[in-house]
Amino acid sequence: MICPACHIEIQENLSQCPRCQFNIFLYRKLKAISLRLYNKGLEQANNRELTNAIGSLSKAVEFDKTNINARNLLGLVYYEIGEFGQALAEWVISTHFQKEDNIALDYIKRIQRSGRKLEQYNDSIRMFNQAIEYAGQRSEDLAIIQLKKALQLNPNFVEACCLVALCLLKENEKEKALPYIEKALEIDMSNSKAIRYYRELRPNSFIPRREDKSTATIRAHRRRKSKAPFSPMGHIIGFVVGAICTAALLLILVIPDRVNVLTKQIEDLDIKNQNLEIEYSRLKQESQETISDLEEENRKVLDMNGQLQQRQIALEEVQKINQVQILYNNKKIEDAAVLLYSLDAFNIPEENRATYDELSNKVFIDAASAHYNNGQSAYSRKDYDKAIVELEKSLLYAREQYYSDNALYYLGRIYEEQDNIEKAKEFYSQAIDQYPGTDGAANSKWRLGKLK
Amino acid sequence: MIDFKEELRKFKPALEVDGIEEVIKSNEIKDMIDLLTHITRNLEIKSEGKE
Repeated sequence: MICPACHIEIQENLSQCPRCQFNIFLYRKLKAISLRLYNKGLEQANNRELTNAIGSLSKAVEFDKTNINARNLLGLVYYEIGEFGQALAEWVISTHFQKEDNIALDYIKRIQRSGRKLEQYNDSIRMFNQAIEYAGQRSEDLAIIQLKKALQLNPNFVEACCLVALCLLKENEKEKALPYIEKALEIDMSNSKAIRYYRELRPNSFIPRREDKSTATIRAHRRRKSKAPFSPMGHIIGFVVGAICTAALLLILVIPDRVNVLTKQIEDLDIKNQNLEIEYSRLKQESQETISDLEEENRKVLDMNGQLQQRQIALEEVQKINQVQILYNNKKIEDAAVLLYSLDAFNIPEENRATYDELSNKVFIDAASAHYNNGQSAYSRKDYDKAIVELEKSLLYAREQYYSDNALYYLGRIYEEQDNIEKAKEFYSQAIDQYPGTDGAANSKWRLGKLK
Repeated sequence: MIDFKEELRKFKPALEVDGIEEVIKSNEIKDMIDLLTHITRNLEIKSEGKE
């Protein structure tokens, strides 16, 4: 053999190059690993586990870049899943390492011959790349249109199938997404994205498997080969061997497989449970946030309501002030005083306060005077009930007038006339205390002395 | 539950035909055997230096 490092001829059985000390043993080991990975990749490709096959074959060429079979198969797998550019890249590299007797040359030639198809595949890849951008910009509808077009041109484009399914799931079109996922799984049954989406849509179903024509043909061919004539003794031996093999198979394959299935189911349920818990926490948090938002909103509405009520009261007070003004102008002093008295000074807006004060000064004094005169007249007529009302109104509206002492004195006299001595004493005392030095106070003092 | 954004990150742009040449040129293809050869040559140079 030729030493790969110094390129001299060396004996096959050596473990090290005598000239450059290159580790031939390790070199052979790497070649063997690459070959084993290729075989694994081939088996996976036959079983349509194309994603797994890509993993194995990529490793195979990492160990030995000149493993032409692995590289050609890697290109073929890329081609099968619609990754046309990647397939072509692998084949071109392959032809770089082996320029003759290389099937990759044939693949490239075939593609070059079908120029229109090449263009279509390339367009489908461009559309897919564009769709990724659209989806990233939250334009899932545009992404779906692009991907559907891409799949028309390149029906085996697994990544496009998965992306269109994802976009449809985002749009909540679960039933429409399913055929794309199934299609992806038919082409590549080990595609992790498709498996994930399928489990999301059909949590309790098994992943669908496609029986390939090629694999079916291989199996049929193997069955045909095994049909050989047996002698009676051969039948007995065959039966015994068959029974032993079946038992062994049961022990080796079926039971562990069943255990694996159950373990997988438990794992799936665990994942499902975790997802449910996460979803529950999320919903709980969302609900709490919604409640907080609603409470805040309610507070704002109540505040606004309070402000509006305040404004409404203020407006009513302003209307009353205007009515008082009108009544006063129309000489309806007593009515004006009643209305003015009913006003709540605290609710009057600042801009109307001056008007209110001005009206209070005029209306209450005039009303107190009018009521005092009415009370005095009623007292003269001995209409004591009316006189009490009028005099009390006079004192209610104004107490610092020149007749206020007499209003109290007259009230005392009325109650004395009515034999309500206690009440009479009360009014005389008020006149004496509140208006000292006045006529009303002097008269009250004299009357009070007589009552004692 | 599928997180759209998270899933979308797993999708990478596919290689277009126009980009093949660039990819082949930019990545000098190395394998484990190259690495082994490189180590051997380094050892060779060191031993020559000692002599």
